[in-house]
Amino acid sequence: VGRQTWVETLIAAEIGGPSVGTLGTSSCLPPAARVAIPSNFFDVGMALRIQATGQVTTAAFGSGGTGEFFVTLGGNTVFDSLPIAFGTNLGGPGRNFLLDILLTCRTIGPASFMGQGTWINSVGPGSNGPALGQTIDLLPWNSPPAVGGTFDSTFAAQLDLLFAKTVGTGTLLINEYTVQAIN
Amino acid sequence: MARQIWVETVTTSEIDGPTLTAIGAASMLPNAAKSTFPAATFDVGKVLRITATGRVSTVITTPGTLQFDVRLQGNIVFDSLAITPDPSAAYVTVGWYLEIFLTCRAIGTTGNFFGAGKFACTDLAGQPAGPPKGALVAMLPFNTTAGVGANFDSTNPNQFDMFFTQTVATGSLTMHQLAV
Repeated sequence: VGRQTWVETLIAAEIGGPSVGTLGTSSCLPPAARVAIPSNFFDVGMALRIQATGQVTTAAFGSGGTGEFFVTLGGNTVFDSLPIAFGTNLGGPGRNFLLDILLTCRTIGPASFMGQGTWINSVGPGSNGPALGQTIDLLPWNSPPAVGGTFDSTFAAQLDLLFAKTVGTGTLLINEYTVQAIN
Repeated sequence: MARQIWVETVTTSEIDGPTLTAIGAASMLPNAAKSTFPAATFDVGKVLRITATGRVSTVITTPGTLQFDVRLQGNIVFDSLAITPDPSAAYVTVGWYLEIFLTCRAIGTTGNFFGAGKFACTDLAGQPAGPPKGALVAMLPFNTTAGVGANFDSTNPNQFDMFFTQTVATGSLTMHQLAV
């Protein structure tokens, strides 16, 4: 039996994001891709699928740093990948990655999402070099999944994807980005 | 805030594609799956997600390479580049799963897509010498930074096609399922 809902694309980035290269946390989306979600948009059970492709650059990621993705709504972190330990196989420019996050609304009002995802790349701790097949890192990394931080779904909120890293060299760049409401 | 657009399936395949055994590039789709996009279908920011599954066989030691490309009216808008199978063992009709994510970056007579994807299979270099062997994932384009593909003319109709290229005649590939 159908629910009379459909998959709707909320945003698709027309250009790549900024090159994120500094220590700390910053948005990895172009401003036009930071879509505003209207008030009362979410219902319990509504799911968002966030997909991104991109690249990380320089060997510095392989020297003990970590990378971490955050999905935020109105500045509230609703999904945290937790710090992903980068391995030692990066060593070169523009290593491709794929990021896929599924968020399911568990509560509204003071709202929250259950979230899990995958990150496929050649810089993760168990990955092979870029010329070989890769393993898949499950997110949140190395931790049981749990609902994220709360946000107020009764207000409009901007959806953003942030990235944080703990070494001051190297860059991350989003090439493609889409958000779909899948029901 | 919604854009009042929805996900639409452009084409699926009701049957397998041809079993490809020869060296060189050849379409891996059955003719009925080569649907045609009307002129001016694409806008900047429109995304195509291509999912395909199938089976592949390669020999030990000299398996050659595996390469997929997406064509619009013969123009290669995405190229996986040559993927290295596992040379440490022979594989016979093992499954594969391909997903390609294309975002339109330009339209007109010089339209193009930015593309990336993944090819999941047990037959990929990087496997341990012995079992157990889980499937690995090749990031596409393989071992190369992603970028925009070749131009195509979005002001004309464009027939969609996917080609597979192998470099030895000892392997084979068959596509079983396709969804665009």
